[in-house]
Amino acid sequence: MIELIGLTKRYGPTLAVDDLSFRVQPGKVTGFLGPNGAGKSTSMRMVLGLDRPTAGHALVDGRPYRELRAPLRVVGALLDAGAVHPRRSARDHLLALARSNGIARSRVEEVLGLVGLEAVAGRRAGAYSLGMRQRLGIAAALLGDPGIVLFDEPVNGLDPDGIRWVRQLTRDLAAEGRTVFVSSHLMSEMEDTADHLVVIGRGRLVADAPIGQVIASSSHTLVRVRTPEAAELGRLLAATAQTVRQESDSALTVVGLTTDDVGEVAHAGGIRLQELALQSASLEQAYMELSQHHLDYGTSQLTPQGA
Amino acid sequence: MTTTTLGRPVLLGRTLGAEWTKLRSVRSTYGGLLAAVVVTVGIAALAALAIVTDDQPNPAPATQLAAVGASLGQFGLVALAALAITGEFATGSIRTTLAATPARWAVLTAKAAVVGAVTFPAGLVATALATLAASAILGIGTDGILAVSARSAAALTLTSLLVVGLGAVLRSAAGTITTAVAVLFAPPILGALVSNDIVATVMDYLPAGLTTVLVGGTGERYSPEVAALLLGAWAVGALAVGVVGLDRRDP
Repeated sequence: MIELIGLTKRYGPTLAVDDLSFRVQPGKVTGFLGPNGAGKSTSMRMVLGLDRPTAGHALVDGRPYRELRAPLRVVGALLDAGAVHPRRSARDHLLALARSNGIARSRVEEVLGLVGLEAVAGRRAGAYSLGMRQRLGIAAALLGDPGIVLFDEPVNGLDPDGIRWVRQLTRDLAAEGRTVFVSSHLMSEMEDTADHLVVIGRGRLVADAPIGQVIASSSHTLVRVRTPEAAELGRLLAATAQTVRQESDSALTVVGLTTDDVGEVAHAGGIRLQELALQSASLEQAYMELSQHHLDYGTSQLTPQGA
Repeated sequence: MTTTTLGRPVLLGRTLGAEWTKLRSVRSTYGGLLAAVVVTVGIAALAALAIVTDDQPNPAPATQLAAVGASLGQFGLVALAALAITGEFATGSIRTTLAATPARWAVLTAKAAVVGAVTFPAGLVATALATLAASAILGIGTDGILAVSARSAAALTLTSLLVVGLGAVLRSAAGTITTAVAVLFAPPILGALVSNDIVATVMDYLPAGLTTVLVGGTGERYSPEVAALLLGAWAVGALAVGVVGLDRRDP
């Protein structure tokens, strides 16, 4: 588990990360979303004990990262395309990392095979494409077989094959019970991968909720109802729904209720339904709305889940 | 969990292994070593040739010419030491290093140790070869070759460690090498221009003055052994400031 507690980072007058608190749970993929410059990378660097927080702290498996003596066995991280010396070969890069954490040399060849770089492992990393450097960075992250992985924008520079591979890898790692924390500024990337979302904007927490809840809570998620008694049903629904719009004599759109809720109300009121349909927002729509709301009001729409 | 109870010796041993792997796997290491040997031997040989050509009576001992060669050849080792640490900042690989080994003291100690492990033999070989070359050209003996080579290697090694510390503080290769050149060359020039007792005393305790006594084997204010200790103190001080810098400033 990764835990951020009031994490704050100030660069001069700029508050890059502002009192950020959330937990990343094992066994699922947690997407870390926010526009470029929202503070995702800075937060991740603070979790890794690289950048010093101005206030607050971060814990991995209950301990500050800097206290770990063999951290690669606990947390594997991919940061800015691996941060590799360009004149060193991929194999030597991984070998140095393995030795630093007492990891067997044979594991270097294993992870090279895992990311598909074994054929080019002797070439210097500077000659690699961005996609190959991402693969090398992922190999380094997996070197210590860690229970927590932290990937900062892992699909940057990858071709469609590589993107599919990273998606599958993150799903597999979570299925093995690991804590998987993946940042992206692309919502579409998270739709198929993440189970849980942490959304930040301007360094502040915007949402921390299961992906389904993020989508369900969007005003773009609505229920369409067709009934001969639209006006009557609208009156009944208005008591509990967020918004009810009467589209015509026989059609309503309802925001803030599920199809089950609408069905119950109609049944209780003895109203005959001809159609009851859910129209889900896309993650993109939900995210845009969250960000917009956050910019307008500076508050969270979705409250963090209790432990 | 075993990961927190790991003892310091084991941690340092692992970090040494990692730093050694890194140092041996970049070409700049070999370039620095080669430059140090070639320049040291070349300068000593050129000086000997000049003496032979001028047909000077009572030529300087071969070891003294080798020491002159080493004073210039040391910049190959200065570059090696500077790049070993600043290269990590330039490429961003310092973040990978510190994520793998969060103990900053272990990283810098291991880096200094592996740099020292290559600069000492390089200094020894370069100075000995330079002495042999000069003596062959001059047709004189190689008296004191072992002692001078060892003292020269010690001075070169301690200077390299000082540069590793400087590099951890300054973080840029250009800044570190420029500062190292200034520290090693400016004081003797200044000392020659200013005849003031206080200035002269201060100069003698700066790395350049200490190196002169250590390599030369005699000193007015202190012995070569004390010079080695004081030069070592400079190196340890620079490394300590480097560790604090790594700890306090974001990489």
